[in-house]
Amino acid sequence: MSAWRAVLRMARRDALRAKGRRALVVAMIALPVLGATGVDVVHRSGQLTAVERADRLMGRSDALVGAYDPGRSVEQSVFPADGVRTLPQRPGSETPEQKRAAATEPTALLGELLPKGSTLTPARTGPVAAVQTRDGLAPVDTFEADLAGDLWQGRLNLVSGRAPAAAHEAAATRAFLAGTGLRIGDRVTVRGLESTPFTLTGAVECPGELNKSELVARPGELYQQLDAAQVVAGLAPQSPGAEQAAAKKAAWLVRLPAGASLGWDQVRELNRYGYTLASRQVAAHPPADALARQEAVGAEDARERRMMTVATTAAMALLEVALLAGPAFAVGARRARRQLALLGAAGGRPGHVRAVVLGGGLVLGAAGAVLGAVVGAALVAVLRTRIEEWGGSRFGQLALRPSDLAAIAAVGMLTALLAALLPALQAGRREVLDGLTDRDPVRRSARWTPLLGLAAVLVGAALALYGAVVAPTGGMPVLAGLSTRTLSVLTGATLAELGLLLFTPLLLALLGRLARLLPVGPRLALRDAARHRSRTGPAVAAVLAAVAGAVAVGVHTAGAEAQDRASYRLEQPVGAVRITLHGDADVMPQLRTAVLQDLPDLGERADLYEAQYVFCEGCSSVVSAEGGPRYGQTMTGPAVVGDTQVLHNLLALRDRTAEEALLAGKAVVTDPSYLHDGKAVLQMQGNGMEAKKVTVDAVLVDRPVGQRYAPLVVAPATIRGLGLQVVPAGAIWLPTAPVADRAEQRAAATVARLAPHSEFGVERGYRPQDSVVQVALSGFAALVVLGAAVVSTALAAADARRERVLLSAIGARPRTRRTVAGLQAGLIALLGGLLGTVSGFVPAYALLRSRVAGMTGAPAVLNAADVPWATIGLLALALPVVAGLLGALRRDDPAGWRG
Amino acid sequence: MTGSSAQAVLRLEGVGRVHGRGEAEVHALHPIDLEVRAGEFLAVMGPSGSGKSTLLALAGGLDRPSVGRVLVEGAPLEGLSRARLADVRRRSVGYVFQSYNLIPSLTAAENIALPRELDGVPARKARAEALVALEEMGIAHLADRFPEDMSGGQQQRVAIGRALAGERRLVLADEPTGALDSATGEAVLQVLRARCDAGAAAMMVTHDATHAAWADRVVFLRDGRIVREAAQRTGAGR
Repeated sequence: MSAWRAVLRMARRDALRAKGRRALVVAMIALPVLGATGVDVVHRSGQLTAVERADRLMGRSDALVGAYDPGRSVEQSVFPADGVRTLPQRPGSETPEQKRAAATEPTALLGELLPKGSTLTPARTGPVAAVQTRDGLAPVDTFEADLAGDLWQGRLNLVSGRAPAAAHEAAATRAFLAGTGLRIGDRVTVRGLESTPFTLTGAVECPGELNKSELVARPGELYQQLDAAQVVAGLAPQSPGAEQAAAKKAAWLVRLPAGASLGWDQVRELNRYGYTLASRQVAAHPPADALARQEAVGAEDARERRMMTVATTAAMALLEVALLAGPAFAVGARRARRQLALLGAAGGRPGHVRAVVLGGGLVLGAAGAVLGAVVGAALVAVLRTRIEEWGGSRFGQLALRPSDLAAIAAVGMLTALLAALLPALQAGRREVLDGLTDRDPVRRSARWTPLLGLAAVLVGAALALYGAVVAPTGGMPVLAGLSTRTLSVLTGATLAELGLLLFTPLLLALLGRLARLLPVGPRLALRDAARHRSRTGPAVAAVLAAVAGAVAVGVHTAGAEAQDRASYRLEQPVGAVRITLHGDADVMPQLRTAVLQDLPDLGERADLYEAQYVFCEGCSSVVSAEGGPRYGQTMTGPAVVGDTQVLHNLLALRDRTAEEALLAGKAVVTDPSYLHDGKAVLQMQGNGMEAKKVTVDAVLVDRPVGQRYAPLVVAPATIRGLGLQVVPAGAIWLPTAPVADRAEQRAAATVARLAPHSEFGVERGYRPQDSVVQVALSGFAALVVLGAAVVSTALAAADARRERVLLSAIGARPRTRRTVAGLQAGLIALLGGLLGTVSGFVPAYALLRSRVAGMTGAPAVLNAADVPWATIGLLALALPVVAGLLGALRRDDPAGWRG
Repeated sequence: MTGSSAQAVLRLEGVGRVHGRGEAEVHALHPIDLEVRAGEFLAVMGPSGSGKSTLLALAGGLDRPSVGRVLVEGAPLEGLSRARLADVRRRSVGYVFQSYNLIPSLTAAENIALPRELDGVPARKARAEALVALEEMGIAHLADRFPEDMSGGQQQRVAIGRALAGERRLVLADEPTGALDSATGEAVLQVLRARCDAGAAAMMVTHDATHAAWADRVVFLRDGRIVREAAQRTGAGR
């Protein structure tokens, strides 16, 4: 123990002596620790306790009841938002509770089911309305609540001004005020209620939805008036589906009388009536059978893929930091070689020498880790409000988990120790006599080193691919919460990178052999780099790690985008606006009118229909088109029914032959596999197992694969001629000018209000996601590469200063010295760049492969054309030039050779 | 050879060192026999390349002989691992070099206490012993100074103190006064002489005959061989 104390004392004092290197290493360790700490604190703070969650849902009340599906039985999690579903049921098997729920007005029913003396406060969200702003109309959510009391405190907080107290006063969320430019005291006009504008008296915020744009009026002042305005405009919902959907929004806050409670049994009882109940008491003490449902397999797989990407990135980043900090420790150990030799001469064992270097890693790692953790946590505390606003949700409380922070700091320290490990091993192997006499004997590297490297690269690549393709999905965590799959990818990628590092001595030796063919400057540079591998190796490793990171980021980003682009299937031409109905057929006329009010310049409309086969009274099925065989089965696709305008708007097709064929009663087929001997086959599923089939004469208009928005179009008259029903299925427009985002949102809100089960969308084509994040990530990776190249080559150059000054002393011209320095730096960057490029492909390919594993009709993992060759070329070729120039520009102190 | 082997702190039996192989073979030291007794101060002289430093490195286990064997306090060094050789240096042999003798990140007291602490002696006890050593050498006031705050002579005295810390009885000094002015060099030799008089054994490599005069015996090396050996009146240099 005493020995280690002495050794650590030396390490600590040494670490404090070399200020430049110390600051560099501390910063390298501190930065990732800072980032990880920040992410952890934000993540933990964002995880609400059950009580905090209950506050956000029900304010100061005791429970929130929702009319989810009155008349059916439902099943829910503790918080309905975590999962609720209507239980399957055969027609005619309604329970007494279901019958009672269907026949009783909700508040009356709840009055009977809840404890006597409970008070109900409506908590239904209102329709989306449009308000007049300085620039035009802005969509806004509506809500009715009495903010004068404390009932809503926690769900809806008044943050400035006062609560609405008089008629036609309202509060608005800060997001609304910021978005519209309105202020407290201004009047706001809601479309349809122009005669009764609201005066804004206060600003509110929903702690869980800070970006929500909402107008909050006093109870009774908004919903009824808005509904009446819709009726006047002829836009009131008329379909039973719309009413049903509106009923599902009905909810009430419940305040219980003193001594009363709502436990899990009451929740289950209300579920039997089709109501959900979020109870504060249940949330605080959830029973065992109220645990949340398992995530769907698809969601679990996506979560695992995300985890795989995050874990691999984290492991590669740690390795990168370790390798980047390595040269600093290596130079430190080389500069201290006489001191370490003195330690050996004084009786220090090789283990003591290793411990001094590792101790330096420990000291600097501890400093970096503590600094990173403290600054990371402090930054989150200082920037809390801003972070909450970015995230759109208030924290519960600032959660600093000591165990998390200690674990992150420990990983930071481990990284520093890892960085110091190789220099420590080298220092421990150095002979005491060599250190005392300042000799740096050249040692041959073992013949097995490159073989070991090759084995590591092959095993690593195989392991990464195994994890990406073969390993079972959704496996149980086996280490640190990571599954076999994730561990395989990250271990494989790390192993491959370390394996490539072992090639460095071989490559240096091969390059060294070329030296005899070169002029004196390059000859010296190559020989020096090849002979002083303890100096060159860590610098190459640092550049390798940085380039590997940048290549991995670049290739993965480009490959993922190419995959997404290839997987993206256009459902209609780019720019097309489409409404698709799902059972709201009778509301179609109103929808057309309403959409044209929001989007007046859509051009000519094409109505879409579907063919229905009525096989008994009250039962029908949708007719589909039969395609060719695929994956051992016969494909079917939608049989779109419409006139020639559908050909224009849905298929972007202006073809006289096709139009004439359609009018002549023929089907227009865009996919050759749907053409069977000149005919299209329509399938009708009735009561029997076998589908009925009818054929229609067809013409083929062969469209490129990506533009077959519908495999087949048939005219309504043709369908009716076959004895089938024609039912409205939606409408499609193909405007000449693109639709603006805000206009699209407005129209979507209108459609959702009138026909809740319908879909509305504008085909925007493939849009890459998170481009800003990707650009920032790529930019950061490039900066790290440049920084690594500059720092590591500068450290190696500083280490070689003695030799260069010696050159000067024997009369070498400055140009020769600069050539030697520049070529050495360039060589380091070139080797690191080339090896790093190879290394970066391993995790990138594995992660890209995992994205498409098990996907039917998956896009190519990575096409050569999608690889960012320009970026890679820049890294592999331009980097050495830059590093070489910087190396050549360094000035040497003529007196420095003594140091 | 003089004295009995029972009293020998250092004994070299046919020790030689060859560097390189074949045509590149260089005989740095031809096989020699030599012994240094407790209380004896041996000086080794010779021109550059005569094998002085090689002899010193072999004697302390910093280098391994090509032939022959080295015994320190009767124990042979051959076959010992690097870690065991380090143990021998820590417990039996102390080195003093021409310059850069002290570990710059440790104070004078810590430098002297280092071998003891590495040997597992509690830091407090090791420091107490170091303070005694510093007191004996008359530089107790330098205990908490770092090497960069001391003169060359002071540093060498601390180095001698470290070389003899604990139970160590053999000091191997390689030109310990080479970087010092003559007065300071004399003072350092005086300390070394005093330590030998107190029972330690010392082997010192030097170029300077006046410094060699402090020794009890002088061995002359040329081309890796002992060419002459002369006993002196003890403390001739004083």
